[in-house]
Amino acid sequence: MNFVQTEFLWFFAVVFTLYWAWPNRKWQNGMLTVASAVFYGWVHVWFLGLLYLSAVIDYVGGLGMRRYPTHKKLVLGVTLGGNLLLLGYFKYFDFFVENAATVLSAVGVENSLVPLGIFLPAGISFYTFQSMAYSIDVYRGELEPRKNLLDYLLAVSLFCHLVAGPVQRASNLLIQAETPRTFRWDMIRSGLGLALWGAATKIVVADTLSPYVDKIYALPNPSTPLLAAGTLAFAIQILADFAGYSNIARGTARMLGFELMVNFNAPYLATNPSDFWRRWHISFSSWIRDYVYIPLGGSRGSYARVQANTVGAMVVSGLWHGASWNFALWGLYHGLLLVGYRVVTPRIPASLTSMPGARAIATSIMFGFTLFGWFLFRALELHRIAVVLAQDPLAFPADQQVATVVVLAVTAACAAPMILAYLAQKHLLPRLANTQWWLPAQTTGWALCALAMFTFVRMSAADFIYFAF
Amino acid sequence: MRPGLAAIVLTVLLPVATLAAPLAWWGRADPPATLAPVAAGMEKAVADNPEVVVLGASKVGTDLDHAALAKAFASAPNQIEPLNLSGTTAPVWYAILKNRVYGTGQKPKLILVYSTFDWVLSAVPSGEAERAVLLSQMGSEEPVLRHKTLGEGTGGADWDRVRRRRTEAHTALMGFVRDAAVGLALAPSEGDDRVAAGAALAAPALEALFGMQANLDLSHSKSAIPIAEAARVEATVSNRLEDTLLPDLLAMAKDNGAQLVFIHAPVRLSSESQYLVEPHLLRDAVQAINAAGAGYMDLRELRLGDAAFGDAAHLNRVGREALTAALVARLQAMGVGGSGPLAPAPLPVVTTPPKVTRTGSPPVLPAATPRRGPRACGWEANIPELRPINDFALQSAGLGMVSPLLLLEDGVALKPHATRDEFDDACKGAFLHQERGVKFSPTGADADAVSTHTYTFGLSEETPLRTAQGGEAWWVYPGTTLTMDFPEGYTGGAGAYGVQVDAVVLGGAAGVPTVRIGAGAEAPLIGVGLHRSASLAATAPTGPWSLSISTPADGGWLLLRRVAHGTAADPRFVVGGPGGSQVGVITADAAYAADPAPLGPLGAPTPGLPGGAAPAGANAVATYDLGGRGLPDTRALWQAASVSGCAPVRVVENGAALPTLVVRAEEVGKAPGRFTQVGTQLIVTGSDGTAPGANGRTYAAVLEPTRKCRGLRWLYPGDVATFTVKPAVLAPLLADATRVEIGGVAVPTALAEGTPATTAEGTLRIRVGDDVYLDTTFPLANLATTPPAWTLDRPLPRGPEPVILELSIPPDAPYTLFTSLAVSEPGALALGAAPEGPAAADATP
Repeated sequence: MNFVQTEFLWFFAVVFTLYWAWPNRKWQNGMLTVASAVFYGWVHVWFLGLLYLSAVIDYVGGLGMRRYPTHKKLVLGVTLGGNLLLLGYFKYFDFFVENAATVLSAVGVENSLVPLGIFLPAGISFYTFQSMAYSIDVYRGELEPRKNLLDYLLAVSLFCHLVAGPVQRASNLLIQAETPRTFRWDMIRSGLGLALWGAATKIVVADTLSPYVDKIYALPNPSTPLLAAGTLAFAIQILADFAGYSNIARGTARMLGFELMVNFNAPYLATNPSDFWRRWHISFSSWIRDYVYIPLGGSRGSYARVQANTVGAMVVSGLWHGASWNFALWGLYHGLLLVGYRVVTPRIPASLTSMPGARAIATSIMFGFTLFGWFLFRALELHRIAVVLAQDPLAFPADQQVATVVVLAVTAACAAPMILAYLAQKHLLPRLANTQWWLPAQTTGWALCALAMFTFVRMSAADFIYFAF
Repeated sequence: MRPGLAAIVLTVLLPVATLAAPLAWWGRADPPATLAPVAAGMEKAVADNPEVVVLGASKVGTDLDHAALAKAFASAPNQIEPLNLSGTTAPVWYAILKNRVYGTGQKPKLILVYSTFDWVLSAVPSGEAERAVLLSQMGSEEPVLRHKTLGEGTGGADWDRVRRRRTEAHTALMGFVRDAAVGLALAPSEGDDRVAAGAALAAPALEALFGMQANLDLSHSKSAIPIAEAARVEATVSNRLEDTLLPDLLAMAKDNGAQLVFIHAPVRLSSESQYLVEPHLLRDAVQAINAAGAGYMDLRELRLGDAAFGDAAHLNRVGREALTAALVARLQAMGVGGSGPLAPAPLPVVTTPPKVTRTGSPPVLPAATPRRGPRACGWEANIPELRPINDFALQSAGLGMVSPLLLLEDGVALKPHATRDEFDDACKGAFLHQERGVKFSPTGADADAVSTHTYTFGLSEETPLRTAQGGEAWWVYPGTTLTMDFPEGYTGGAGAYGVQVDAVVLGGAAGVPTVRIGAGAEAPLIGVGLHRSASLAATAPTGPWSLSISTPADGGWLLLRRVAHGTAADPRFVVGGPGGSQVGVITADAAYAADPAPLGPLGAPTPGLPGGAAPAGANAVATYDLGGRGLPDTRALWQAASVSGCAPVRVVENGAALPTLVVRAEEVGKAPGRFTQVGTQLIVTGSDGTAPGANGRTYAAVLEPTRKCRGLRWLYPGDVATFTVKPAVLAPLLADATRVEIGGVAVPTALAEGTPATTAEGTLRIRVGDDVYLDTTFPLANLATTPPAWTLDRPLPRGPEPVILELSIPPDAPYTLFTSLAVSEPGALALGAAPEGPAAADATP
């Protein structure tokens, strides 16, 4: 089920009513687990099998580590192996086969390797990572293994975050699942506002920009300026899409008494690559830091080792987004940006960094780097990236000039409400929050979101981009 | 802080007002008795009760020659009315037929629905734009549309108005953003209305960039938000026939006594996949059409090439003429216009695509060793192993650009089938496979960069290979086996079951290609010339089964043309299709028995006809009346695009031919050296723009000696033309030709105006060596309206001797322009036929 389909409204209304009708934790957890199964199995029931298989592997693994502490490394290996096998088969097997066949053919080895056309279950990257985090935390002794399977299954499968995050830590969500929730109007209001704002950014901003981006990237020979405009549109689209999803997830969870991690914090205002990853997909980047970068050695070891760890973690991060070389290239690019930033920063004079406007300049430069990264991310095929980079950047046919202006105008129009919302959140809402006008402002904001969605909604909303990862 | 009373009131009032105000504005009642302009225009158009109504989307406008349709099926040109709207699907057509046609009391005799069938079977508007169009065409009582298209419980008319105006508001907003931005950034600064100027700039530019669908919009008169709207237009096809509007269209036409014909429109072959309908649904639809006594025809069978299309979906003028001609003929054959029932259409064949795998060892290709060619960017590399399948060999065998050869630069494939300007004159990273090897250019501007790259040859792994023209090529490489694994058995009609494979073999020595069903015995593919075929009688498979086609290392390159299985009455095609194949031989080498007789000097221009001094900026013209010389009256030619400009008369000035024949008289004076023949008049300007008759030069009329005109052939009175059809020309035929067709027009002479049509007859004689296959005559008078066709007593052999076609017309015949001369085979299958010879080995899946 999709957050922006009509069925979800009915689904959530029923769940919300039943959930708060009997504020008993066991009932609520059981009901939410069943509701999450309905939500996830809405399209393909067999998806549930994979979800529960992944969850049970880690649940049993956690208990196994407590029972056999001397063999907990082995148990961890088995649980991680099980999860990675699932993820590897469903997400990366065909990718591996295609590339193996290419390499073997290139070296003259006859082969009949053919991709199996495996269907990628929605959200598998998210829930396997969440499950694995549980096992690793138990292994590290940072979390006690849980005996209550229901609480554990709820933490893994809660529909709010199941398909596209935010990637939750077991320590965060398990504890909430094990704690009674109480009904609070302020949480309901705040959650409803967050969810409506998320849906509005998805429907009004992301879905409006989506066809422009798709059309431009489908052109056989887009000029560099048009492609740049299309990439700018994509930058706004993917933020509106993913941040929109995260806000719906956080909003609906909050209405049910759960608090999910913040996932975005004005990422395009980042002044450097490290700052960007502290603002973009925060739940995932911190997961990569804690469960990939640090186990690789993190910032310990030689200078070269630290840089290699950074690049390696970012390549993994790139490949997590999809089984395609352009995602690996995107991860590599961001890894190199992080390394480059570490190399360059000490050499920048303090006078330069403290001069007026330095932050704006740094933000602009970083946004430029981010845009180039989105180009690698969106282009999907390596040879197309090479062709675009090799073409004359000044060639600009007249019809593409028109299209570029159109795309820039629509992008600006779509970005405007997000910018206004950011400014309002920063400067206006804190002043309003403690006045009696906060409540009418809230309800009017909800109505505006609803009206905007009604005006912009298409017959069928485009899928969330991050469903594909 | 606890809110006060004012805050509480505002908490409720502000959001209610925010939502209610626009909803109330959008839901306001339409002014009484107003009809949307498009709908009103349609009612005005059908006010005279046209005999024929054509429904559909934009393709009705681009693909059909309405004048030709009117000529064939209506009593007057204005008795046919196209009621098509761009970007619309069946619900809108249903509403138009119900409300604009029958709702206003009109009773057309014939209704044609022309569209791709995904749009015919669409029950839901493709987007908000089409929904708004639909609402503007709907009447007050629409139970069918409300149930099937809008869904019950949508809120009725008020809610529909809200949704329509909501869409209009969205469209206007985004259109303003687009037009204002373009107007401010790119429109000339002196204009007042920058938004309108922006719209004028944006619409054509976006259409050029993103294609015709970029312009789909709400009102069909202005672009709204082109790119976004285009993404919304994808017909939503239900999987159940009863959910579509098809039964309702059938019932409505039947109730009103009209003949209804659904015409399955073609799109560019490479785009067909975007317009497919689930095969079983299409079969059900045709069954329902047949049961209702309506008509169905699939014009995709015409297999129109890219040259017939203006874009991916719409035909150009050439395509329109070809399609309309075929449509008229098929409609007449179906019984349209008559009083009897329409002939039922054959049910579409439902095929299940097998999984295809290639095993074995294809030929090891040598390393590519480039050597510099003589031209700016040309490089060459030898590959003698692949000579049999070089581009020229495949082309001359009539197989097209289907070569599987890859030339890889550092592992990246270069563009195949290149033209000379892509590898000789400029470095475009492209190659052409010629008989003696490969000519190619590297990528990048530097021709000498070849030394920095590694070049390797390869064979495409694609099965089937998708060609640039959108076709498929099923190759079996020497030393390999192509196995087709069918997931399910045959569930077709009863009768003798069999498998048939038709293929072309190129190169090879003693090895014999074979075909095998499952683990059964291998049967050889045998035949003469390039052709190989096998027909296997077998037990119809009831579960998964496989078919393997192999060619040994010395068996040559096998190109599958048709693979079919099933019974004769209900075949399934895996490769190729059910239609027969045809080749045109009008362009074959032709020799004429004698040169045309000279027409003689023109003398002085004819007084009283246009001519004389040139107006400012133009050239002087003179007009000669050729009446009495027995020449064709070209007005008959100028009216038909396909033969326009095919006048046979040329003008010689002082012994040198004037260079330019133009079509319209007013074009002659626009440049020196031009002439035209209009009717019986020859209008000429001198090679330097001076007036013939006053410039002291002599002018004579001659007949064009080659008799060629854009692939068409003239036969002048008394001509005998001998067409030599080489075996390679017939190679594309799947089987031996058994049918011959002629098309053309006998152009009446000026002297013959007003006199009865000619009674002269043409003669066609077909022979191979001295062996005569056909010797017949045909009337020239109705050559254009009833093209003659003959079925031969025995098939024409395909080599090694050429087939000779002798075509002649008597001296008293009018000048005759032959537009087609084709041989064909009906595509008959031998599925389940009694085993014959070694090709029909016993086989059990």
